[in-house]
Amino acid sequence: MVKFNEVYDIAWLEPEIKWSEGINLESKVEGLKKGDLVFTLGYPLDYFGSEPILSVGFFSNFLEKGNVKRLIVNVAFNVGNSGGPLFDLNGKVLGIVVEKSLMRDPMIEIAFQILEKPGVELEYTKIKFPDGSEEEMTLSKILRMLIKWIVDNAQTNIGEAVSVEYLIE
Amino acid sequence: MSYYEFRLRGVEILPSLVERVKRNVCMIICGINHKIAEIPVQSLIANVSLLYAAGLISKGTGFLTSDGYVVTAYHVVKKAIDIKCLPCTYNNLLNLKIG
Repeated sequence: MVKFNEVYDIAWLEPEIKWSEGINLESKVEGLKKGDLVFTLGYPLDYFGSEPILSVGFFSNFLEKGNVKRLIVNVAFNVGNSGGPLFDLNGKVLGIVVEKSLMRDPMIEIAFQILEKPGVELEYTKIKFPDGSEEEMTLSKILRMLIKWIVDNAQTNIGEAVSVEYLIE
Repeated sequence: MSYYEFRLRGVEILPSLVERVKRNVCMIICGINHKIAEIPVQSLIANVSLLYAAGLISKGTGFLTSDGYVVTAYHVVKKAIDIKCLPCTYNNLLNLKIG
């Protein structure tokens, strides 16, 4: 990628062609009020349609997370929405979608780490991918996939976007 | 205009606003262990859930800025060895420079 910032969770990439005029970014999100209508367009879950899906909701609050300003919104963010623009009603970008809010359970995260390096493996079968490659499925891989699937599909209707100010240099 | 009226106005103008901004939005698809180019596009689309569940691809959203960059969330592209985007107004996958 051309450049990135891991703290802000933003990456800048360079496309081989510029297919539209692009969005002008403004650095200010001041004046945003609780209840203001906001929306994002994106490609969540296994949606592969040609046009992005609309998710609409309301701005709720600002949150400082690790010294990074985030916008808390009541919008349904799902896996695949990440990286999408959060717009206001003037079509101005307010931020970048970075995560849906979930209750973190440290024990689940520890279990997930253990499953990445299990002591004993039990192979069930091999699965074949579209490019012809094969991968063995083990008990730990199946459990990891199940946990990931549950987390990915949990819907809270509360999401977070990193403020657009970090995009302006 | 009351705040309630303002919110109603928002619902009214949303369709035209979405039409205006959507052309800048794109799907981001990343190959993690495999280069996406090695997978036929139709096969990629048909098997996206399987490939994602197996950790072979990641998928997200991005948007084009006026200075010519595609911006997305870093965690979407963090482990990518191959990144492509599909703008909604364009029929082909575009390569994104990975450095």
